[in-house]
Amino acid sequence: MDPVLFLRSAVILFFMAWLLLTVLTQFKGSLRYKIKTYDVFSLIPIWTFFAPRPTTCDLCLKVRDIYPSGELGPWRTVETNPPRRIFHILWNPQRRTHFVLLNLSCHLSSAPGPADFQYFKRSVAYRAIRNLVMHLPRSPLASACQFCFMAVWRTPQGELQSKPMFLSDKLIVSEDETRKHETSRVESMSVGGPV
Amino acid sequence: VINFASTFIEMFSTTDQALTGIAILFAIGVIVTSLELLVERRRLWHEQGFLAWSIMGAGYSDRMQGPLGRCLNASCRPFVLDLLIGLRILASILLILFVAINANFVVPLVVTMLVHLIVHWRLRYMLDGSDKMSGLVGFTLLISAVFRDDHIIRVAALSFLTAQLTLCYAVAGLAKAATASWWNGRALQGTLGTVVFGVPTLHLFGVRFPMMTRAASWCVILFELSFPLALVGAPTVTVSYLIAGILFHVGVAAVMGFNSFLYFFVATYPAVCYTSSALRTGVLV
Repeated sequence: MDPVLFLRSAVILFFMAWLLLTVLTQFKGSLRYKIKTYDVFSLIPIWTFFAPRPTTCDLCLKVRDIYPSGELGPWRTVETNPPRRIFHILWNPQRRTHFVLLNLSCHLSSAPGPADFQYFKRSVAYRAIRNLVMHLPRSPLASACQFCFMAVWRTPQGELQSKPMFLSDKLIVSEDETRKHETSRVESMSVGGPV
Repeated sequence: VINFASTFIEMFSTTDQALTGIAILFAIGVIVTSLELLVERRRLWHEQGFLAWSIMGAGYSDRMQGPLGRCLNASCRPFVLDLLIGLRILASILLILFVAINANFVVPLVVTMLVHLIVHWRLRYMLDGSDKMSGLVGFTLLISAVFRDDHIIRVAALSFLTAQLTLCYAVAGLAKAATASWWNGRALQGTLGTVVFGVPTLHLFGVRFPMMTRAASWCVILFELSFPLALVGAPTVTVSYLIAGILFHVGVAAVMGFNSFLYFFVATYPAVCYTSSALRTGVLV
């Protein structure tokens, strides 16, 4: 066989196979799961954006300090995505961080039971969020901290309502870490005021 | 209008023109998204971020053996990843320059796509639909650049991108059309009400005038489902669909903040122009 023709056929078959895999991945089921297991570079997309059920409530990450006396500090919101600005049409870096938070929180079911909480606490997602929370600026007097997820949605009247979805364990802060935070005052994450 | 539409389609009526257009738009998208990643690096993959390698790489430590494993392990370290993404920006700038002087852009594209693979594997929790589209566009461009002298492969590459875009809109449209909350506008209204993907003013407007959110939902479903008409219609139809598509992605970026969809989805539009022109004339130029 002519090598040029062979190569051409191979490339065209490759494109056809890629398209076929994309089509097959659009259907929910075990086949999608199997294909996505091998798709380590995320080259086979699922195109159902915001459908069939779009996001109608926000996920908000909140943290609070816990003092040695047991006193609890106020909940503070971790700002992962600022309100919309017109320049977001072309430039919106912070959406990445919020998208990570959303993707990590997907490991927690929408109506979690005690077993789900335990499963979530053993997951990479939980450790990832804990890692970020442990590096946030906090009071030098705090001996521990805690984070929670709040579901936030807007009523038809435009008011924001929220309900807690998940409360983490008490995360003990080591002395080394406390000292590090006192000196560096971590500039990497903005944390809003008390809620 | 007809003359403008025909002239616009003719701008991308050869494989060279279409692939050049795609390459430039793709490179711009890669530069912007890479800069966005670098801005957020501390909250994403540095040690104080969500996706710190000490957390995400914990499950891979036993598999990171041998020269390749060690190399991959090293590339996942924060500052190496910073450098790699910086390198991707440089490669994308070179890609634009190479396209401008009509040189073969395989080398900058190989660098761009290698970093793309590392970033997609390392930061998989961060990916959205636009990242997947950027992968499709990038690898299709790479194949067409490697087989620069094979016209059939270049036509196949452009057809592949057009098919992926049409499939994308069709699947998104069908998934919405199968849901009552999209037809009655409540889905869109709910999304507009979120802080993250919405705008409070638009939400209130939607609550006050529910017909508007319903109409907007219908327009989105209609646009997505009828997109194949852009391929088989007259030049005015094709250009109308592409303008509607650009406005749709601008709207999504402005309201929901998904700016990278604008770059990478619009980057495929020259392929649509080429395919529609080829289908209309029956000539594969």
